[in-house]
Amino acid sequence: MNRSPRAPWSTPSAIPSGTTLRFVLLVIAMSAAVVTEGMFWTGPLLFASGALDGITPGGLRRCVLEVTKSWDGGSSPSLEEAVARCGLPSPAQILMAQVGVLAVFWAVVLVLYWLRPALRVRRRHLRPFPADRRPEQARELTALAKAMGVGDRVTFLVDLLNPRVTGLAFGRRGRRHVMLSRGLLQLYDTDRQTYRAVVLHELAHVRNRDIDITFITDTAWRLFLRGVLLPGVIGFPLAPFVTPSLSGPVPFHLLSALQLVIMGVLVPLARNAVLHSRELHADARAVQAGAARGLTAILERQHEAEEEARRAAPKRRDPPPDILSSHPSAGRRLRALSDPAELSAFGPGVAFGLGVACTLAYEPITDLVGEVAGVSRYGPVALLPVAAVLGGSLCLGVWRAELAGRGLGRSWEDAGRAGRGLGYGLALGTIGSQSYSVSLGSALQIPFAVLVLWWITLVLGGRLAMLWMVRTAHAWAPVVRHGRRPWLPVALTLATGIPLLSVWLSYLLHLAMWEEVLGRLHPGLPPEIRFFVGMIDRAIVFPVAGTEFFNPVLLWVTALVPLCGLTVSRRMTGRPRGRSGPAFAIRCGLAVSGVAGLAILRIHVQSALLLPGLVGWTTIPVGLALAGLVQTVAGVVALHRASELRALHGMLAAATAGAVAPMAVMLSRDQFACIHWGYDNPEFCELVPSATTWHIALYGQYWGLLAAVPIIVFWAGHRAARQGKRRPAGQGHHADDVRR
Amino acid sequence: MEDDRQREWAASLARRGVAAVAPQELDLFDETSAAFFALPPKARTAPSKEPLGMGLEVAEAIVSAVALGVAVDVVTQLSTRALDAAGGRVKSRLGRLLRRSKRDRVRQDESLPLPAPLPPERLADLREIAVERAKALGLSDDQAELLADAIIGGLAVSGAPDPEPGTAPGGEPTAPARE
Repeated sequence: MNRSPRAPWSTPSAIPSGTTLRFVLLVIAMSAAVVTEGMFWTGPLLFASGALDGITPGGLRRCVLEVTKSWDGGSSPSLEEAVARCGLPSPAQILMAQVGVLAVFWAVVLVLYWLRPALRVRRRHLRPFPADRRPEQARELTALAKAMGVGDRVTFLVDLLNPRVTGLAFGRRGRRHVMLSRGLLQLYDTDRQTYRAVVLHELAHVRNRDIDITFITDTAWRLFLRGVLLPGVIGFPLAPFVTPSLSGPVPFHLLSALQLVIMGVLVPLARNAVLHSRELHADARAVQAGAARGLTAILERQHEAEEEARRAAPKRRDPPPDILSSHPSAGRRLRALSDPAELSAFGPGVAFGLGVACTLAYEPITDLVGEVAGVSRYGPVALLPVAAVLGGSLCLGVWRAELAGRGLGRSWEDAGRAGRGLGYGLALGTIGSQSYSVSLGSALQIPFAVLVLWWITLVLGGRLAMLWMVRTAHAWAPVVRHGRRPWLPVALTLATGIPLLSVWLSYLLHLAMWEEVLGRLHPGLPPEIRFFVGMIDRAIVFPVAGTEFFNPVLLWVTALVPLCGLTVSRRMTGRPRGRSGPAFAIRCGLAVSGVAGLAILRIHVQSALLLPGLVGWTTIPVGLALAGLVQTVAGVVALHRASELRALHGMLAAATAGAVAPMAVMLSRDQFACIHWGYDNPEFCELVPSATTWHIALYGQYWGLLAAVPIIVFWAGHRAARQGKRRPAGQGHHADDVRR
Repeated sequence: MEDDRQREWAASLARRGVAAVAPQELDLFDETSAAFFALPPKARTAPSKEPLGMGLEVAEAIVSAVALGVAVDVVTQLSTRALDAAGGRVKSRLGRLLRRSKRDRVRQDESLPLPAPLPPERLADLREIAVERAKALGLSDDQAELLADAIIGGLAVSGAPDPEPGTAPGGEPTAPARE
């Protein structure tokens, strides 16, 4: 297996950058805000138009509060009952209104997007390139377009009044334009190399399919700003005073305004981050087409001008941060030309933005999907669209960063910080989320202590999710670099990562709400305790497949995907297997649980034979606790013995032990009973496990895992932190691969 | 500048300047001039960083646009002087109040004579204005001087606008408009 390694970093478009998905997440976030605010504005219209049979907003609110308060916690008040009693609009009516609001918004966006190129041509008085007077230059433009692979799909226009050395790719589907400024045209005679570089850069935008997504997002943002954000930020806080009979409580409106403010900060920053990535990729593609020297020359010219301006006015304030501009600084672009890792940078800022957008946007989406698909809005299926976009963006970003790091022989330094960024983003987004703002304005209020606990859980949960993706990409990376089907591990990570993320987020995001539900059931418990009880409770009654099989299966998948990557990678690269891989973890689990099972059996049999009447059989709760202990021990043993991905080895070993230990306990009990009460006593002696025994054993595995997994994760984290302190600086997590 | 004749005049002066300073730009001068007068002054400056643009501030000196800007300034100066002279005849208080409307009427008056050949001191003043304006618009000192000389030279030869595009006010061909 001595194939020469591919170099993905030298072909930045080998793996999709995921920036499109980041744009899509922004689009989703904007859509969610549009739905929320659209309902805010259309609600009063519904009341005013008499479509709700003369019901007043105040009467409706009182009725809903009564229904909520009358709920005894036993069974949730049915929506149909609330609709019938209070005259609420039916879910179908609400859905139709939401879809209508969204359809109007996006129809306007698409019309504007369609008209913008023509408006730009008219407004800037752009003209077709004068091919009749500059035939040689026209031929060269055609050749450059062909070299870039965009053929004759592009029309070249000129902006004769623009002295800057620039171009602009724009247009709509089927009618792409590249505008050449007068300053650029001038360079054709004086600096042909730079001229070609700039033209190739713009053509690269066409080739990279940047135009549609960029201009649709930009148009949506402009419309959102003027039509949704500004009216909302001004209108929401004023609404309770202007129309007190139609509006909800003040905190609800303030938080709705805050949500829009967060969006107003987040969307442009996230858009700029994505645009930076697009610019760097366009530069890279232009370099591939032979524009390296010209591009370097013009960027150096710009960089020197920036530096000179800074030197000339040292007392002037520092220039605004890069992220406030739609383009990266010339310095960064130059660095990206010499250091391809810049192209694949996936830092904490991007992860933070993704996290905020996710939690800001998910509720209207889950409502919509839940209603359309007829599934629970609190379940992972309803969250799947958001998880697909978030998980896809994260996954592709992580993969590119990992491969770039490997290609350059250094580790990805930002992995940990990106994980933290995602976690902080998830937590921050909840402040502006729909349920939090609604909770402040309703009878169900989330106590601040619970909020803090929830945020901490979200930060940790986000980190863990990111860590899983990083570790999985790391384990499979050699297969991508050396394998015949490099896309396969990436597709596998996406195919498993997205559903797992969907499940994980649907668990994390509803913890605070679960605490409220438990408050109805156990009003005497302090909210903080209820939160922790809710964490366990929700893990047990996780409403996915309606079966206790589901969570162990999740755990197996979570551990197996990266661990299989380790094994395949080692096999492919010919490295010794060592103490890693799923087989190793399963062996650990089997060994520990086998030894423990035999010991338990022996104790039971000996007790029955030697100490009859003095020692009873193990009760089921004690037996299951024992099995849980065995699972935890198996996990910790595997964790300590594994050479890498310790937590995942521990989890798989615990899951394996969970398949053995509870059944061993149940069989030992049966043996005790058979010896003690006689093999012919069917009431106690059960030589072949019945369905009930299997069921109990399965629950045993489940409960054992609930106890074992957090211990294993924290143990592994603590151990990694200790080792990280001892590890010399600069030693990356794939130093072994680099040494090869 | 709304008057077509003034535009033509400014364009012809600018063409002289371009022919003197950057003759290679003459092939696109007509289109540049059309774009220049079609756009309001604020719209003539393009935003530097548009999404999917090159995102650079680096600029080249475009003599055509500068020449047009300078020529428009010069012509505006002359027209303002002429209008002031016409408006100065209205002495009454009411006349002063109505100066603006008077000026508008004068603007619309097709028969308003364009300035006759100017005295040397006035030309020197205009030249100074032209040089300063050209420098402000990004030309080097030498280019600015050359451009101002060409434009003011055009004024000195004749104050009247070009009878035809591509011909200097004095009737001399400026430079080959098409190569």
